[in-house]
Amino acid sequence: MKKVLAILLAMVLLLSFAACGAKTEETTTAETTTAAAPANAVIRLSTTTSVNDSGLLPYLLPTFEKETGYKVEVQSAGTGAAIQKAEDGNADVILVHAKQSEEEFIEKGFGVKRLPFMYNYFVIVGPKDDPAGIKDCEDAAAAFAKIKESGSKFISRGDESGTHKAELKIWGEGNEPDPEKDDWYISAGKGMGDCLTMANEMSAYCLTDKATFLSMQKELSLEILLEKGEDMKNTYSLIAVNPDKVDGVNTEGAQAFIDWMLGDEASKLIADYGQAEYGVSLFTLLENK
Amino acid sequence: MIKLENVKKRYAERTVLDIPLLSIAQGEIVAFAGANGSGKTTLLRLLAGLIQADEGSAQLPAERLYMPQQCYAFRGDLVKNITLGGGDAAKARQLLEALELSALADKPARSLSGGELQRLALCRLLVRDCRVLLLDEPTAACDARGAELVLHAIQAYREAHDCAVLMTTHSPVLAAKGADRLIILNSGKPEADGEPREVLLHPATEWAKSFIAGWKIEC
Amino acid sequence: MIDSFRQAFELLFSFDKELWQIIGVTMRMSLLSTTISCLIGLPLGALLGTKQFKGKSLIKKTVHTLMGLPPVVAGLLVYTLFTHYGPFGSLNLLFTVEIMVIAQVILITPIVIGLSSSFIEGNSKPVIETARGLGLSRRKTAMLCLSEGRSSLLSVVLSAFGRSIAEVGAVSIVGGNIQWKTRVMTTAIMLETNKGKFSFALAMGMILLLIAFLVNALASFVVKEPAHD
Repeated sequence: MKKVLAILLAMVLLLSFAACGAKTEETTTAETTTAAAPANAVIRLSTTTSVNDSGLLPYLLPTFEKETGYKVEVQSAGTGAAIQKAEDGNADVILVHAKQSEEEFIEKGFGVKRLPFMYNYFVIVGPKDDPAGIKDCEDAAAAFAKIKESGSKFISRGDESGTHKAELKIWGEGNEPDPEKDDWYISAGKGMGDCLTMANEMSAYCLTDKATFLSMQKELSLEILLEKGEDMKNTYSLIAVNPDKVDGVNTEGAQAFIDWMLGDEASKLIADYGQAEYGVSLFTLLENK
Repeated sequence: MIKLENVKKRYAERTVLDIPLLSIAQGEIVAFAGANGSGKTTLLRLLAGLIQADEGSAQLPAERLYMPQQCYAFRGDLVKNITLGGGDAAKARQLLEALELSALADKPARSLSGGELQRLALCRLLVRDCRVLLLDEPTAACDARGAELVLHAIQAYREAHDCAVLMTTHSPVLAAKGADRLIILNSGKPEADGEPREVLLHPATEWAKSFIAGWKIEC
Repeated sequence: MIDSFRQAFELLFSFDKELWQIIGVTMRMSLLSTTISCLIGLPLGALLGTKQFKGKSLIKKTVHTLMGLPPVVAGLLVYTLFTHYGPFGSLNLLFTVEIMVIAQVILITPIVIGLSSSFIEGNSKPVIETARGLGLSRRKTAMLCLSEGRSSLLSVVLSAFGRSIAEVGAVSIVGGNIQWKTRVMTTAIMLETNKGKFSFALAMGMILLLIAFLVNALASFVVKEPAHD
């Protein structure tokens, strides 16, 4: 009996270590601060990979930090994990792109208010020869239908990220392919970059945000085959975490960050982002934000 | 029957064995004595074929069995341990009887004490037929009674098989009582060689004299 | 924590089809890579543990270095070899269970060689000395070494299995975590973590530990030690 207890205890210890490990994610801190530091100078921003890995945040944050004296600790993960971290009390503000999850987050009382402020379009990428012939489709739904019909390979994120949720919405409820039976539909359960690499290997189609694709384009032999369909619009929102529901939230910091992001200077920076490197803007500001 | 000529063995520039000439007759029981590192074990391992000489020639029969100083207990009971190299179980039980181990015959070998294990290891050899027995300190772990049993068993085997027995020892009693001939090694060379009592009482060289003096005091 | 325990039980006893499929792929992968690694590694380990030859210390150092090979590096290496435009791209093995086994064999074989050689070096001397003194053949001697050291060898095999079943870096890169195809327990746990379902991920982790525990228990039952050991 003692032995069994000892084993159980060891397992519990191990698991609690594992649990701690699971929650430590990559955090990046920008360094330059010239303005006087506010009382609680650290803002914890939980966001999705598409705004961090695309380079948008590393591009915006130094200016914000310099002007306000705040330090922003960015944790980037899929939308699901990004929201979960905020619910666990590990973030002050979130920047994500999955309307339904965002509304649930607010309904449960974790978020103060959903503030949509910018958007871009998802794009469908695929092999140059476009075996399913989606190039001239009206929108993503039509393209998906052709891919399904031709049985061409399609890589799905399959990770409940914002992009995955957008993809499922395009298929339409009840019409989603079954990854178990439909051989052509590959549910990768991985991040955007990994999915694009996989699509490249398998000559498959993939729904992606444009920023990630452009940043990897050099290593891929895939092309953008369809963009700007009305059903491919991808809206990003800022939500401050509700201090009444979650302990230890830096409310002032979160508000300062939101104010700055919605202000004129950030708007100009966002509108310019991507022009220098790719010759196109990667994000567009909403008119009535 | 066994003849070594100019046999030399070196380890890392150090000559551990240097035997100009050594011959041993059939049926002879020879004890080798000498300080630690005098080459006793090396000589036995060389005769057993576990190592090769660097120089010289050796003639000896193919049927040789060797018992290392460190005895090993295999999995399983005593009978299984004895017969794992060959030989039949009935004979194994006879030997256990002779060595006063028959009460433990069906016990696991790993439950034996050091002295019992040494007697068991000897049985492994005695259960089989051979022309040369090579025993590295066969009584080192035994008490007086055990040593006596071992000696009797060795002598009985010699009578039955008319084989040569070469053993190393640190015990003058064993050498005097159990062997027909005693050879004292000094740094890999035979320093004294003859009938045990003769060698012990009238050492041939000064070195042998002092070695034997020290040896007796130790015992 | 308690929530995860409850979820782990519910998950196991709900006989969720996908969970059992993932467990199936995990076991197939781990057992195959362990078997192949041991078939290659144990003889080499025995050779390294018993024989003296030129360059042995260099080989030992290499093996010990490879024992610490980061899984991600092994994964990348295999990926580069088997990518569509790579030297073995025409085999079309990327994102299959087979290639996951290949990557794991590269990862695990050095562990098997390293552990078994140092074990054999340390423990087999008296067995070999005794067996050869009795004039036993090399084959019989080797069999005796194996049989005498079976509990230690078993722990080598189980270490290999443990590494295989718990490894995520290499299998994620070459296998791709494809649902119903190459998804194993570890990559499924990663995925759940990325989804933000931390307690569900932890529940999967518990199931993984449970599987590892059962395999260990089964193995030590098969290679049963006599009571006096």
